[in-house]
Amino acid sequence: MKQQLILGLALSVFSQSLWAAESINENLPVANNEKIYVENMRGEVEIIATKEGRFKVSGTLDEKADGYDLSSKNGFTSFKVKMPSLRNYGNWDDQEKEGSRLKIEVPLGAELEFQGVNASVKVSGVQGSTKITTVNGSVYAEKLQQFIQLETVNGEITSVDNNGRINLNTVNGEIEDSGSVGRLSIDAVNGSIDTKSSASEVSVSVVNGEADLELTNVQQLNLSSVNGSLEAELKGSLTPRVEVSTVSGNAKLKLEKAVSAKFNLVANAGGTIKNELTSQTAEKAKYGPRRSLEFSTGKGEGSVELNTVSGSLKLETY
Amino acid sequence: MKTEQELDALIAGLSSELQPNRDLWPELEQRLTDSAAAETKVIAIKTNTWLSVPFASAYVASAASVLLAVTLFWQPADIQSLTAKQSEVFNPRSLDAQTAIVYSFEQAKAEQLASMKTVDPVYADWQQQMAQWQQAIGQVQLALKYNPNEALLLKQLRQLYSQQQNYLQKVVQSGLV
Repeated sequence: MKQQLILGLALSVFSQSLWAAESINENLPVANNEKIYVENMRGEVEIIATKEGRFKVSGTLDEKADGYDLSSKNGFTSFKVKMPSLRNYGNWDDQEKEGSRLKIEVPLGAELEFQGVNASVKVSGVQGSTKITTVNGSVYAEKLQQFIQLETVNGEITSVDNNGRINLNTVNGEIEDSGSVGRLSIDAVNGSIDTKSSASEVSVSVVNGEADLELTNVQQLNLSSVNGSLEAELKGSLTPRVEVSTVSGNAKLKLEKAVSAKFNLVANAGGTIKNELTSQTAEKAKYGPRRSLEFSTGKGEGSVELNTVSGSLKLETY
Repeated sequence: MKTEQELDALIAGLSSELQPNRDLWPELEQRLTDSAAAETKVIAIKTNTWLSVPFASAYVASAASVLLAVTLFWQPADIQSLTAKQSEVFNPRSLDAQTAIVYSFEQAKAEQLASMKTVDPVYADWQQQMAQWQQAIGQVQLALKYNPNEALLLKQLRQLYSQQQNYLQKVVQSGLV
């Protein structure tokens, strides 16, 4: 009886240790411009850049993890949470309950790459370059610099005060960007896009979602949509180069009164054109459903081209 | 002529017969004589000695040897020329802009689909998504029927195909991981 009790107690302790998350606390000196690769399939990861030349990782590993690999050599540091070969990394709904909980510190000038599957990431302050890729999970990125690439399939991307070549990409999630500077490229298939940006070059592509853009001093803007609607306000842009195309979605541009540009608006098959910037109105083609409007304002220095198949196009002013 | 009634009145005033200003028969007779002479020449050629019976066996033998030579030695060249003809037919550069775009992207898409093994459940609705792009591509193509070679539409067509291609690439890669 006593032996059975001891065996039962030992088994229960052993099974608990099987399911308990393993703690981690590692600290390595690395170069300020270290190239750092982090791989964590499930859970939540926070990555922050500090002034110290070190790579630090703390928190708990995924319950299903088989430990971790950490290596650092010749300016390259790699940290991987080792997972058994799973085809399916679980339900996204379980994500909050399962997976690693990690806090990682990297040097300010590091070049960071993160890969996950059911993982949400929060990253801030990295001044080298940052590439974040996840599948089911959100990405929050703040005060990053240089080459910034944030990508998820089912999840929201939030980009705050990033500066450089910024590339935001989601399939089903929403994208929110604010305070971005440099070159901004946003792609969403079904999600919506919302940006308040001061980037000089902006490119936005959406298939079914909507895009709402408040842009300041943008010089070049490319917008495209299939079914979703596009709305863009261009503050302080007096000679912008704008290209907008939709299939059946609507597009609306709000421009400065003093804008100097050549305008070319075309609605190819049943679309409409409304101009509130000047008094010119669209003309209907003699044959076929095409409507078009061409005019210039000021010295015609910029270029504004809007094209739709069957959506409506509208020009507004402040 | 101001009204249709006036036009009708003028038509009614015209003669029902029209006579030529000069005699046309001499010219017609000359033409008829020329064609009779040509027919005589053709008959003369038909009776040429090279086509007589004694030469017939020689022609047959020559034709047979040429045919044999073609069969034995010229077959690869024949296939080459056939292939060249086929590639000429399918060369996107020789097609109009729209067809060239459609051809190149559809070919790439077929290759992508052929390389697809499994699809990650996260892209479970990929076919529906692809169909949406296809529908949009169809709408642009319809608009191109009204305005062939419209640069903006062609650009839009290329863009839609490109988006679809990038998406499909992700779907394919998801199954390879």
